[in-house]
Amino acid sequence: MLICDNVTKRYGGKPAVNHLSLTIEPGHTVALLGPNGSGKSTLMKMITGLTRPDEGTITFEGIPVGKETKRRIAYMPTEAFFYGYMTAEDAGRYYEDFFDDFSVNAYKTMMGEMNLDMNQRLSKMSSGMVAKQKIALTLARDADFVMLDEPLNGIDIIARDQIIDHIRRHMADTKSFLLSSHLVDELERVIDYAVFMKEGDVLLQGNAMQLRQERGMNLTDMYRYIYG
Amino acid sequence: MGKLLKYEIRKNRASALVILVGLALLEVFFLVSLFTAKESNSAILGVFMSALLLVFYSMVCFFMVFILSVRNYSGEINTKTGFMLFMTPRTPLAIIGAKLLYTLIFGGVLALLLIGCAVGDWTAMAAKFGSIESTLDMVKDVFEMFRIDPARYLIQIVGYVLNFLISFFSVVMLAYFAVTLSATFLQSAKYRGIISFLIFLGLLIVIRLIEGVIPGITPRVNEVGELLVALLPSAAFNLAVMAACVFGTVWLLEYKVSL
Repeated sequence: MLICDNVTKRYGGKPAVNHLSLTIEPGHTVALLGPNGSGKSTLMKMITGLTRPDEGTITFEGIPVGKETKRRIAYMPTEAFFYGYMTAEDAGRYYEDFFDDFSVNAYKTMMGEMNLDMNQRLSKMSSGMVAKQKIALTLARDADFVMLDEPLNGIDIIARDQIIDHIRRHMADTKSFLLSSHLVDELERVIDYAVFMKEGDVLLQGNAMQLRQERGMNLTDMYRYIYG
Repeated sequence: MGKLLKYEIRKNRASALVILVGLALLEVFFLVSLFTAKESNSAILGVFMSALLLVFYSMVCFFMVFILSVRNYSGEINTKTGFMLFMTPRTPLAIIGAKLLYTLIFGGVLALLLIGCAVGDWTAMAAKFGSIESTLDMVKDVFEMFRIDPARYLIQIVGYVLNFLISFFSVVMLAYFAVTLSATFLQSAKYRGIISFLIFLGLLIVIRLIEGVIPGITPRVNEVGELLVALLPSAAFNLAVMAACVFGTVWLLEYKVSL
């Protein structure tokens, strides 16, 4: 279980995440929704241990996030983060060297399904190809907690369907997913909990089904209503 | 640590290759000018110049090792590739340790190559110009006349090299600390690189000023033992600076730096 307790992160005095509290239990798929600059990526980086909260605590299975939790939390940043020399094969080898839960075979299978070349240099790939490759690399880890930051950004509808399909196939009762996006209609198919964020604050959060019933609208319309 | 080191080597492979190719080209230039030279003053001057270039390049090499090491670390902290490194389940100490170890290994390999080149070039020069051998004999005679032990001077050189290495690594670590420090409070500053450099320069000046007022233990150096004792305060000070910078950098990475 992941617990964010009253977490705040400021950049230059301005809060990127403001007193956020969130609990994610195993088996759930949570969407972090909001426009750019709402604090979604900052929160994910704090959960990964790449960024420290200024206030509050984040624990995973009772352990404060850090070196140990990095073994069990898989994170896909929204940006391309690979070293310039790396091919898709090199990136797989890198993950295999550092993460015990990484499966090269699963990675190669997913890369094949998405028609991606293992020998192609990542810096030469199109943004859509890199987006799919990052998904394959992250989902090839059998991690307990998976975070995908803007997994559907910059890719066509067919590729989006492929990615949603892959995410769905990797869901399990023991795993939690945290997905961020401003493409709500795509995510609505897979999530069961939604957190609406704006300028670091949580405006609304709850079980997706309950939110739909209480407000009589789907999450996409709720998004338009909140941010429109 | 082994896997981190493996990727440090891989990441720096291209720049290391450039340094080594530069050395190889200068070595070839020296050997060609040596073996094509006739026994004339201008030819000997040509050989001397190419040898001088090699000596100059040796110094440049260590400066480049320093620059590459700091540039590589700065890149990890300031660009998105840092995710690749810092999302791995490794402690900041292991990450910094692997970077320092790589610098040590590459610097060591480079030093051995340079020493090998120097010895080989000297032998080649002796083979080409017999007069060098007789000059060496003359130097030996002078040493014996004044009862100077060459081995003693060799040990002194080793002492100075060790001191240089400790000082070199304390400067590398100081630069790491300056880069990390600027990544905390200057995270979105426009001239972050320049400010990092100024922080480094300021810290370096302060440290060198402190080092300058450390009193020597032995005022006169006649024996090898005395030399090593004389170098001790400076070496201990630089080791302390290095340890403080490692501790400070790791602490900042652990608690203050946000990627």
